[in-house]
Amino acid sequence: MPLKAGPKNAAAIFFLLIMFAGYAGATETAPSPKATIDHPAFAFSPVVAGTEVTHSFPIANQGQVPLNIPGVYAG
Amino acid sequence: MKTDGDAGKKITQQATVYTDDPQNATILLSLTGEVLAAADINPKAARLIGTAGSIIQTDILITPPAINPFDITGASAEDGTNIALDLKKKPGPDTPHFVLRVVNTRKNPGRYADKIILKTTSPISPELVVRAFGMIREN
Repeated sequence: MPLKAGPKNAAAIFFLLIMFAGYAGATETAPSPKATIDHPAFAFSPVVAGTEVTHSFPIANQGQVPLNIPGVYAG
Repeated sequence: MKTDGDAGKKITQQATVYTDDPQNATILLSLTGEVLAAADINPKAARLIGTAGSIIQTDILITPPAINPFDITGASAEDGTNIALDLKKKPGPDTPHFVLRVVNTRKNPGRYADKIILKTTSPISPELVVRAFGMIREN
């Protein structure tokens, strides 16, 4: 049945628009951290046995919220 | 990453970083490289084989690699009852090398084993170990 223009129908359409807007908002991606690393692999120059090799791997956060690193596991 | 005992190998160590980034929940890191011996020791061990009463000796050539130059400040045997040591420093084209003469002092037939410890000025390899084995036969 076609809707007739009137105060009741206008209110119903407005209500539906509000609901749709709320639904559309709910599907937007929430802000999240964005971890980036330029060089995840590093090849070191030859070393003598017994040398301890250390290297820093800077990890940047380009997201809108803080990045958490709950763990790092070697192996 | 420790490299003890990895001389002559190409080694790789990996680590996994866990994040709360849904697009990069894990990041794999890796370190790779070649590990060289603290010194070139040739031959690797002193083998003293011969008849009792004869002169039995061998020379060990010790060459520090260019990335780990050092001096040897002392040579001693762990046991020392069957061998005598003489260390000489020789000039080399790049770095000096060392000749360790190991002389059998055992008069009677039998077998023995000893460990020669070389003290060096290298902070990476303050000690080098050369094994010595003797087999003295009857004359």
